[in-house]
Amino acid sequence: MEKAVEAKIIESSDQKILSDASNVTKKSSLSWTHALWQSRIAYVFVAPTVLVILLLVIYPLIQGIWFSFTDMNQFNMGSRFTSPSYEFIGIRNYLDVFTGAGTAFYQVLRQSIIFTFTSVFFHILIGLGLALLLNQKLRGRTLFRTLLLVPWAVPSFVSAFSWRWLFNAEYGFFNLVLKKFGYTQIEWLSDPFWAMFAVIITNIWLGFPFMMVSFLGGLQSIPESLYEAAKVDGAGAIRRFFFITMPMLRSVTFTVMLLGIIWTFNLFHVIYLVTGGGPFGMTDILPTYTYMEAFQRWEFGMASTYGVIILSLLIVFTNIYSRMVKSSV
Amino acid sequence: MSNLSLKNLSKVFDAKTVVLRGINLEITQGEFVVLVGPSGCGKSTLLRLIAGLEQPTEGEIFIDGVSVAHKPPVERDIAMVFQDYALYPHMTVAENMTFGLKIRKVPKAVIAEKLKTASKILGIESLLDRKPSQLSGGQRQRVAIGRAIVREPKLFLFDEPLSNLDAKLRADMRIDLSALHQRVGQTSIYVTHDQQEAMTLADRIVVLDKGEIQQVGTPIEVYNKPANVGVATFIGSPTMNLFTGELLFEGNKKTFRFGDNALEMGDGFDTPLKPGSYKLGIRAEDLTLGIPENEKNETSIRAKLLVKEVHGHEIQVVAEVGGARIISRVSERDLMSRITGMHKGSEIYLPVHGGNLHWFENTQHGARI
Repeated sequence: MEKAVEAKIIESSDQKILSDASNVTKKSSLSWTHALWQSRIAYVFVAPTVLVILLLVIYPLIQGIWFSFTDMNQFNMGSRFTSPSYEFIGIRNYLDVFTGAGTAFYQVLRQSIIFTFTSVFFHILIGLGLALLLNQKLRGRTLFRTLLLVPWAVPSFVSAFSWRWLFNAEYGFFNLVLKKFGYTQIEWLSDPFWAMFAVIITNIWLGFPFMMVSFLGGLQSIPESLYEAAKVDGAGAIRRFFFITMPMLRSVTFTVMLLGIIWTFNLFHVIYLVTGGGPFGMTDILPTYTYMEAFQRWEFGMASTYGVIILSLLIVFTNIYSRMVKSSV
Repeated sequence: MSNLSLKNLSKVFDAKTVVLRGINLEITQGEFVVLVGPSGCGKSTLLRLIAGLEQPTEGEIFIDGVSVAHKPPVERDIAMVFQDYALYPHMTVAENMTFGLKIRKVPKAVIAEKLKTASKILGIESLLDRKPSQLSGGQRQRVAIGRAIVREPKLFLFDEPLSNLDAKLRADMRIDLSALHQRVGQTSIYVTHDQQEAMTLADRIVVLDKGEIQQVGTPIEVYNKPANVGVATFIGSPTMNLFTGELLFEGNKKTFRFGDNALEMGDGFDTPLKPGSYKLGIRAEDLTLGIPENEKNETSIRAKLLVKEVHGHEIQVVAEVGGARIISRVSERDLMSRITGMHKGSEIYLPVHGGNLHWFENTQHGARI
């Protein structure tokens, strides 16, 4: 009886081994074309996305890089009546940019950096501060949370225009207040310093809600028991902030800081709508300067060069940044 | 002198939810006290009041004779082990364990010495440079305990520290905790909903339910003389069998009627009970199958076999009596083999012995008589 059972077990396990073996041979006989055919449905689903990305991202990107090596402008770009006659000029555009010949590249780069880092610094400072406040069990917390999202909810060009009016030298709110209290009025949008101040303030207003929401999410994901453990360990409110809150917000901070810097560095409409880059290009940043190059001076080759430079700067920055983050975590 | 003393402590949330009411408790130096009760009984809140993470609505807390009810945790000299361990994820094991000491500005050499001793006791010397995310559940648990013992506090508080571990690890850690307590000898208060943990770890058990202390006693006291129906059914596994019925005196015969059973109270039944309505509790091990020729008589409960749960060293027989379930434990070998031959629906007789009966009032509270 026992032997019979044993024999049966051996038999069945043999069968299992055999069937396993046949599976292996089946698998290895599958060619890659067969595999492709088997997952055809997946390719059908992915195709529209790939097509759109190719058409709207990859193609313009490659074309832009190509234009940056040409002298393309409004006269030689070709039209309905003439064929294009722009030429490949190698790296001459890049040489012009980096040697500063006939361009304000370094000045605009400096303004871009000031604009970007000041904006992001205050975005994070205000965003974190408000998130900490809203994370407390305060009365009317929901109301404040909603109100603080207003700058984000209003279309940003509407806000930008409103700020431009607030800064208006003759009828603007700020100058009316200054006048009322007997102070000298400020030429907000025509003084280089105050113009930069104005665009930065506008951008801070537009950008802090995103940071606030991100930090609030980060704060709410910190387990309460960590704070309790720290209390029992003897940490006061300040120590709890620096030893629990800050380290636990680290990954959120790194992410929103990177996003903030990329978005602000690429920001166009705030400056275009509030100062138009003026006075005398003193508030221009690289995207607005590129726009002027393309659609006011009609130098498409040069504008493409700026586009490629912005992209390269951001790629290099992102790389260094993420390496810094990795090594510090 | 008592190490911890709670006087008329109560806690009310949002001015209406009473979580704890009139808690009085004295705990002496070096005791291991387990607060146990079903979920929502207030045991965790009581521990948090002692820790200073919650403020009492009324009452006083004394640690070594000093009133601390309204002092922050830092001034109470306590250490707490949390259910989810609450290790600081960005700090190494060593940093986690010494954080409290650094805050208290203990000299570096002393910190190093304490860290060394504690990590040796817990066997985590090789883990000191790791982050919590690189540790297993059991290791995290040890680090959390380590963080408490380096501080050498007046009180150790444990909030369900083993509930996130798997069954085997939990059993091991239970033994380790007992051994650790014997070694360190510091007063410990331990919260759990697991009555088995309470029984095995405690010097004294405090059973809580609905925000009130139901009973305080050694594990054996609580098991053998439960103060009321709630304690009786909560402590002990399987749950104590409970029958509600009428005790009738007919001449010399005393009979307890429940459902369609009439249980004659045999020898050893000399409790001075008056006739009336009662709840009768019988532990499963006191309700075992008798010898066949003796079992079918008036001092036995007649039941229908439902399920046989084989545990190896014993069989738990689940049977049905008048619509209610009744559990009996059988651990003698020949009885076990007899049960193995029985089928669902078989009629069985469970003899009752007077000395092992628990009588309770037939009320909501069901106090022991």
